[in-house]
Amino acid sequence: MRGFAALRFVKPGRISPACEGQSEVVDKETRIARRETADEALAVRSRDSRLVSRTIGGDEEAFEDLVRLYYDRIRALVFHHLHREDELDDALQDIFLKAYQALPRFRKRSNFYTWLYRIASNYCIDRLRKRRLELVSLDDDDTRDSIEARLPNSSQSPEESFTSSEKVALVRTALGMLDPLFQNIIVLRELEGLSYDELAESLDIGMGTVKSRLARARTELKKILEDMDAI
Amino acid sequence: MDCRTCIELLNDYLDGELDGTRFAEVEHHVDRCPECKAELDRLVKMRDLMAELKTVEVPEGEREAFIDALRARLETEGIPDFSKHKDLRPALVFAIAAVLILIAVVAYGRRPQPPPFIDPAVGLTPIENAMVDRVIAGSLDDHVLATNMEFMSDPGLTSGQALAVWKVIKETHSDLFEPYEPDE
Repeated sequence: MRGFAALRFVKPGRISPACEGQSEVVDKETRIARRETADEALAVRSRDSRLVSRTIGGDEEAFEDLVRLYYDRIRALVFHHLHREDELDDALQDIFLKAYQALPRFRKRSNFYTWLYRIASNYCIDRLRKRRLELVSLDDDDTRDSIEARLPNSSQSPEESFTSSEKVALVRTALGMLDPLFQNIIVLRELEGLSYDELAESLDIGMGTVKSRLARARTELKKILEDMDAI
Repeated sequence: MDCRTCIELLNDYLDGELDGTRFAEVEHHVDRCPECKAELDRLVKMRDLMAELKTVEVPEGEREAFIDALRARLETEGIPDFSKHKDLRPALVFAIAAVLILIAVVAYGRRPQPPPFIDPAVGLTPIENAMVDRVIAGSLDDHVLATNMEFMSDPGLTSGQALAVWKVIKETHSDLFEPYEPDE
């Protein structure tokens, strides 16, 4: 367990006992790494801010550059929410169109991508809620059958029997059973890799709400996966 | 550390959000507690399963095709004229500030001004008290008397406002007031 944690979850700047003698070197490297990360973030914000200004100034190609930069991330975010290839293109067009129209309201001291994530997240949450309203209750046999049909058919653990595509189907089903708000924060954190600060900025909520919502979402997801015997 | 605290901290532990001391406490507890270790393993499995979703391939050419379609849609639906949406916030803030300042200036100008050298809290000076006595006693002009009594008895006026009106009257009709020498 210790080795596992040390390999996967050591925080930047954390020093293992084996390399205490190199602490000064590690600290220096950590400081350099953090400064480089901060510099990169500043450069990204500056670049995006210039593209936003040019777009508002009438340069349509600047907006296309923004779309090019963030298409893949927003596409992944939307796909992780909707899980429907046939809805993807319309959803992405709606999101980028909303972003384009809302550009004058973008505050340049924010990160453009967290602002874009907010628009995309709100859109997806709205779509999921509407979709659920259209669905009959989960108690309905047809719906239950539909969900069960999407689950891999095995009594063994995922590691033992499920193929990668089956695991994907399993997790997607579990995610789809979460409240849209919980699904959203899980996707942003676990799949898009947003930090707690970025989550707060993207969702326009405080750090306390980020932590409590994320904890509740994870608890719910774990319970669903346990019920599926997936973990 | 008890099990409840440890379990509450497991996600922060996996996220790398714990400080060094808390991190070490969780590790220490998990190494010795099979239940918490099992819970940690479940969380790790859950994350491993989630990782299966991470890769979403974008088919080649899709991005540029999307941009073409988006451009066409923008042209169809009408590109918003951003010149109408230029950042108006600084101008708006300036306008609001100007209006507030104007309101404040007007309100200040219309406000009954207290006399510059008499503190309303203190009241009238001895000279002014004597003048009021003379007005009341009828030894001054009727016009001043009437005006004077009217404003002095107005319950809507504060003492400061009454005093201010009195000062105006006194200055306007200074010729009506006889020089007064207070009693020693």
